Amino acid sequence: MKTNTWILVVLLGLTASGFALSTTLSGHFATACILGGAGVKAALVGWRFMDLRDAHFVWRLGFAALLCLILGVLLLLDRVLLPA
Amino acid sequence: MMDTSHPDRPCDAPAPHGPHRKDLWEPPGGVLVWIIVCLELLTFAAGLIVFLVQSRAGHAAFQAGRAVLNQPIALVNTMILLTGGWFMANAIGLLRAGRDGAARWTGAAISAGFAFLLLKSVEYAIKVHHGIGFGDDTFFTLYWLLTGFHFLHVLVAVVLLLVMRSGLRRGKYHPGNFADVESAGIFWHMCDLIWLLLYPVIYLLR
Repeated sequence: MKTNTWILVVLLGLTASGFALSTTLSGHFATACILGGAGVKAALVGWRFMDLRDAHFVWRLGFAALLCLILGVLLLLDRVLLPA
Repeated sequence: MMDTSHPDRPCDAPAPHGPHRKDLWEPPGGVLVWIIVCLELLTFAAGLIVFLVQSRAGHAAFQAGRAVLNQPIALVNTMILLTGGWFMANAIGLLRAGRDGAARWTGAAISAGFAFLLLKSVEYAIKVHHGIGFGDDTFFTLYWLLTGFHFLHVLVAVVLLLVMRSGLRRGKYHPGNFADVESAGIFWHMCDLIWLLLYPVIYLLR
């Protein structure tokens, strides 16, 4: 339970940081930081809360690949489509 | 059925089924719920891709739309969902370890779910009060679609957790039989994951 609590503290900290960042910065750098933070949070939720740490490596790899694919496409779209 | 409970077992400990957990066909919660997780993530990702592409076509309208959104409610809701995930992770940890308290932690996760739904309803009510409805413009059409679809998922997850809590209180689930609770927990965490993608793209990006 102690580890779960620390994970929660990190998740809440990243959420607050992302919000603060979005109010102070804009542009591609801010997008990369905000989406990167979301990726870290999703990975922590999957690894610890969804117990992927106990799963076969194929599930861990597949989950990581899916997150990278989704966030990678979103970041790419932001860079390619949106004005700098 | 073998009882693997131990009063001193820490609730952070891995599942008592040990080696079975590393089986390709037995991920935590079962294969079916993980197929659902993958499909849901891909579905919402497709919606977010449409959202970003459309924001290129109507950049000013999307910026104006985001300015109307209630940022504090969305921030608090994100924290509520993450805390709800923590409640549920602790519930499953205690259940696996054969310790008391799983029903209470599940109840806390249900409360978090209701709090999210209540705050989201307040946010929706404010929008409706200001005359912002589905189909007003592309931004708000996608906003209602994506967040509304997620709202329904949280509602389903809360109902699942209510059923699991009832089973926990009746003693149906124990360290030798907790797969249903684990599956419901994975579905609950999936709602976290989806929101962790929706929240930055819809509310934060400028």
